[in-house]
Formats: sequence, structure tokens, C-alpha cells
Amino acid sequence: MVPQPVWLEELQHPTSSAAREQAFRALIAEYQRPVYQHVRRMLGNHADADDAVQETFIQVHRSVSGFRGEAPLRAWIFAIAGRKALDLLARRRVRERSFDEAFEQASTALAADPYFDGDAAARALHAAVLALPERQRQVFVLRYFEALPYAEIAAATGVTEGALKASYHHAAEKVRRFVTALPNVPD
Amino acid sequence: MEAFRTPPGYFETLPDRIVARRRARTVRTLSWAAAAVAACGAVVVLVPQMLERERACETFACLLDATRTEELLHDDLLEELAEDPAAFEVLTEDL
Repeated sequence: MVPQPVWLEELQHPTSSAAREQAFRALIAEYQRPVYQHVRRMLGNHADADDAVQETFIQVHRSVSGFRGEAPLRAWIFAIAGRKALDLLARRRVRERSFDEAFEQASTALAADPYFDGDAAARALHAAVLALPERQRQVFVLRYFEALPYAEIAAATGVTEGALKASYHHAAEKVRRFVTALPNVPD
Repeated sequence: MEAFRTPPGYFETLPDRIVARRRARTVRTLSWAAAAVAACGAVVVLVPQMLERERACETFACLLDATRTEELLHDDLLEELAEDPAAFEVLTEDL
């Protein structure tokens, strides 16, 4: 088993409330950037990502005493972050849209987003990700951007590796179709 | 390079906001729990009292208290009735 950080022990078996808060802050400092990027890729805009990242760490604080290390801590936290992002998407669900329509909307929103710096290729990539169905989006972001092995994603999410691979395959095909349709973007 | 940016200083303030949000939620949860405990306590105390009140009186004093008739009775008569089971029965029939 991979050695766990000192603050994890303090979070799981706190010696005092002050020490536990210090450990919690250490955990946030370690993971806030990757968790933020993860939920931002799933949600698109900063306001939703900010909400999801805060909810993620509150849930981690609540559940960490039950973490037994079946999956690596990073994968476990990302799985919680993914669920929080999906919860937020579920609360804001609008009518069903086609992939093309969702892609156009996401692309337009990213172009107008003051906190998005990507070029046309990056915009196409992220708009295609945001247009994916929610489960496919979660798997694609964990696998493509975070490079988590299927085994770790499976352990953290409880989904079989076969189902994860199928989801990733469908997602990657859709994303590839939009990204390669752009001029001057290599396949 | 990451395409997604954050407002300036975002990650510097994020830990404080998360800790504050968690505390606020804990306080809210405790308030709800306290309200729930108080409501349960009230049920535990009041329900036996209500049941006790509805239970039939088995003593003369209780009967008088329940029917609020003692102010109508003279003290001597009260004592007499209390010592006379037959009179007690007649009185309860009238009530």
C-alpha cells in the first residue's frame, strides 16, 4: 500500500479539533488545484466549479474517517469531486440537447468566459467534453486529463473496468470528431 | 498550459471559505439536531402526562380534582364522604 501523508492520519484519528483543522487545510492545499481543474473541466464555468470544489472538500472531511485505502487517495477524492459535479449538473438539468447543439452552446460560453484562456483547439476540446453525457464526461476527464488508470477509477467509483472502457471509447470518439474537424488541428 | 483560469487570489482564499462553509453547515446541522431532540423530549414528557390525565380516577381526591366539585362541598362533608365508601359510590353515580 502507498504510504499516506501525515495529515491523513490526523484527519482520521484527530488528536484535537485544532490539529484536525490544520490537517484539513493541508489536504485542501495539496488537492485544491487538481480538484478545481477536474470539476471545471466537467462543469465549464468558474462559479459552478467553485461551488463543486467546496462541496467536494466538505464531503471529504465528512467521509475521510471511512477511507480505507482501497483506491489511492487522489482517485478517491476525484471520485467525490466527480459526484459533486454530477449532482450540480443534475440540479441544473435543462431539456435534453443533441451533442452538436450542446457543443455549440458550450463553445459560445467558453468564448465569452473571462477565465478561459485557450485557443480555438482548446476551446473545441473543452466544448466537446462539456457536451458529453454526464457519465461519459466524468470518465473522460478522469482518464484523459488526470491520466488515472482504469483500475483506480473503477475502485473509486464502483464501476467495472469494462464499463469504464466502453464509456471512454464512446466519449473519445465524439471528442475526436469535433477536434479534428477544426482546420490546422492534427488528428 | 491550463486553458481554465481562476480569479486572482482564488486559491489563497479558498481554504478559508471551505472551512467557514463547513463550520456553518455543522452549526446548522447541530441546530436542527437540537430542535429534533427538544421535540422528542417534549413528546416523552407530555405524552405520559396526557395519558395519566385520561386514566380513570381511582381515589376520591382525584375524582374531586378531575370534576372540580370540591369547591361545592363543605369540608365536613368531604371528610365524611372520604371515610364512607357507600357515600362515595353514590356521589360517583351522580357525577
